[in-house]
Amino acid sequence: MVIDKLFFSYRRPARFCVIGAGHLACFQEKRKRFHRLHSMDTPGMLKMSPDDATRLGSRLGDRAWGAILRSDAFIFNIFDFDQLPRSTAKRLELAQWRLQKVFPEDISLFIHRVFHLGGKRLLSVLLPQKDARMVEDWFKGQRVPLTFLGNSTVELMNRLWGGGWRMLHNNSPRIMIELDHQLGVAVFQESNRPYFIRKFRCDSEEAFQREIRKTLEYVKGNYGRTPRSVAFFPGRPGFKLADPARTWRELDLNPVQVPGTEVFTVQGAV
Amino acid sequence: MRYLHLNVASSRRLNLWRYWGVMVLLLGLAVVLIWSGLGQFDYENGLTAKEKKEMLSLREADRNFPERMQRFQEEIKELKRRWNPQVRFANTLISRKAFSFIKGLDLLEKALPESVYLQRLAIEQDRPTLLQMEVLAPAFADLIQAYRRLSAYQLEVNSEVRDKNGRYRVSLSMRTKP
Repeated sequence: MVIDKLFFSYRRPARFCVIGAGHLACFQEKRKRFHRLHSMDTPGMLKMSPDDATRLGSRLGDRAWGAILRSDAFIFNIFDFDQLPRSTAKRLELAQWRLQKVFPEDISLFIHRVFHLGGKRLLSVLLPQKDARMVEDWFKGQRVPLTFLGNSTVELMNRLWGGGWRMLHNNSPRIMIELDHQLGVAVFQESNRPYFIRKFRCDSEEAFQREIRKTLEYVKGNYGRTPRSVAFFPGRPGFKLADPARTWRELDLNPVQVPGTEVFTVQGAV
Repeated sequence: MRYLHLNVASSRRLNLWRYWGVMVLLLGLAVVLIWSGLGQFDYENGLTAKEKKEMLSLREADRNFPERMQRFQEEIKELKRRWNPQVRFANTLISRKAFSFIKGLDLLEKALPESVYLQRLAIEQDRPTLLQMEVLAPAFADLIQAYRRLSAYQLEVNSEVRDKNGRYRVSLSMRTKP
């Protein structure tokens, strides 16, 4: 376990793919800048046409790659506790115990990870094993080593609020909204600690506004907080915001531009 | 919020920097240990002049070890030869000291009649069981009674003199082991 933690990295390799609903983009990080290597519209990795698969495989080469999946298949839960044990294993047990009360399915069929968000708050992330194996099998079939399989929402949360001196900044956005096709994920934070996360479906701008407004009301009612700043990351939306500035104005939110997150936005999406 | 390292891939990337860092560290540690181990073999370079001098004298002494041992053996033999009679004498003294004089006196006290008095008692070192004494008996009957009692202890009467007061002064010897 020590050797595993010491010698094997959990970090994303320099080359990675962002796999969303209907869109796939490959990037390479060089000197903290992202360069787009390849992008293609595809209904999914397994549904990719043989030509597209061959073309993508030839682009990937034989170096280690990472894959960042959009949050469609992921299930997020944030748990608050009165007491939190120090041991990571005990925290995992505690999160599983809490999860069993709210999650009806068999947890053993999922890959389960638990993260400490600070204070007495845990973030539980579930991903169906079959979805993870599907992506890994595709890379294995292309004879490309896949050493990283992450999630775009978690990557964005890291980019906005994760670690280092960024924690001292107070002007980080209070809401992060990621939109990919018809799936939206809204994460609310206070003092750089996420306290509420919600996935929602929307197929139009009206539905998007309605869901956001409903979520804001819920947060105000249950957490007594009224967030004002938002960071928006549109992936490959099924619709397009006609006038983003007006949309945010109507929601009483100030959009914040966050550099270094361009890999999670599709150019011309908004 | 701490950085969330979410990676659900079944195979992960080997952190080459850390791997080689640890390897170089271990290699360096091994080199230091080997170097210090070799230094132990060549420890004379680190000695002071006094320690070196002491070391040389010890080596010199060590070089004549068999001759010195032979000389010591001869000295031990000579000492044994010289001291053996005295040791034997000392052992004799110890064995004599082990003889119970109190036991002899106790026997004498019980054997002599109440009216017979002990005037002188001599015990020789070489013959501790032999008691030479001079007793004083007020009457002949008492003297005879004393002779009877002491006859069990190889009694020998050396002299028997009657003084002017009519008492019998007798010099006799006896052995405590009958």
